[in-house]
Amino acid sequence: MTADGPGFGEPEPRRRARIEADPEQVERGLVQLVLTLVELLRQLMERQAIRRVEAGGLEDDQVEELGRTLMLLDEKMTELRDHFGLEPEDLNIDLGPLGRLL
Amino acid sequence: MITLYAVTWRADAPVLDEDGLALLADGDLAMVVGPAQGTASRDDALAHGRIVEQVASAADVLPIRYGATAADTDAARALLREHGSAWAARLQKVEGCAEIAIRAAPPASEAEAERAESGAEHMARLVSRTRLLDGAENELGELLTGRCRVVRRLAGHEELRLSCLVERANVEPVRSLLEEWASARTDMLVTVTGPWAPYSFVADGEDSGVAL
Amino acid sequence: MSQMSVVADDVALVDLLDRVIGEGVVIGGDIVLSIAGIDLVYLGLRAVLAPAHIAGPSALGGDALTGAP
Repeated sequence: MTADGPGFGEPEPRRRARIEADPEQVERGLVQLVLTLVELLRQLMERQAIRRVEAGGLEDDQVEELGRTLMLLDEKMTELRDHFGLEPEDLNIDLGPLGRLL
Repeated sequence: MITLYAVTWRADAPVLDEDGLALLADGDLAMVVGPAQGTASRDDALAHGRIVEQVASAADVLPIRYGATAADTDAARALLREHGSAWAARLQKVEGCAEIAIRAAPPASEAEAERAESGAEHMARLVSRTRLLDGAENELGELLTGRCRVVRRLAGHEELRLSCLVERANVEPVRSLLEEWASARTDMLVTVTGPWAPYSFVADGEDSGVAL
Repeated sequence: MSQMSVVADDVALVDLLDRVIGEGVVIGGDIVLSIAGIDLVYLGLRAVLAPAHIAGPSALGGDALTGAP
């Protein structure tokens, strides 16, 4: 079966599919995007820190400092998420090439 | 405006039961297309997946990511022409194969829900989690050698996500093997799903994982 | 085991959704958020699929996957 009959996919100027949204929805989407980017950075830093600690050679107080900073970041992130009523899965937007870093 | 679902070999001529679906051909390839969907939604995305899986049950496919559209059938055929040789090469890579997906994570423990008492303890938890997941990845890699073509670790921070490209004849044996591994690993929560169409092995310029 | 039975449960739905949104061949035709016809920003598909977590059968009723009422 082919699609050459009339009435199927009439030629028209190329348009992106659109989702009409109300301002509230848009704000939610933008917050989601911003927090996703922040979360991406947090995870990258966490990953680097873990690698560094596993590689060894750090002083105890350096490990302590790293851990405390990461803990704080984690907590702040949770606070922000809760504030906007977002779940962890909501911050998992596909960011294209950036997303692959995770 | 039309929706694009999957690319297949023209010769496979998959039967399309769904209303409104059509097969556009160019050269050796064909593309499954359908009418434009109005709004993006979870149900719409799942319906997209259902259509891809239906086509995949009878033919080799390159699944197209949800959200892809073309202006009309001519534009869709132009895409087939433009990407023809690249897509044919990828179809060959996944020929006769399906994808099996594994997700593994440590269970949320009560102890971990408590705030760590020091930075060092927090780091220790993170290191321990990483070692658990990396260890599981290595075990699975060894288990799957010789049983699947490619294994690819997908993005995931607090969990391990692996996708395996498995020949159809091996799908059930590999699923059993993984489920057996899962029940032995009481220190992790594991889910095994599939067979899926080979979504994770067809993207552009993707690091396509480790060939086993 | 039929293809469809594999995707009948919630766990499998999560994996299918992940695949359909996050993997596969990428072709243009982005979905763009707009208000009153003015394009705002490309947010990626997951941003407009709400809620992110599985909520069960669709709001329209029935099973989105099998099309059963």
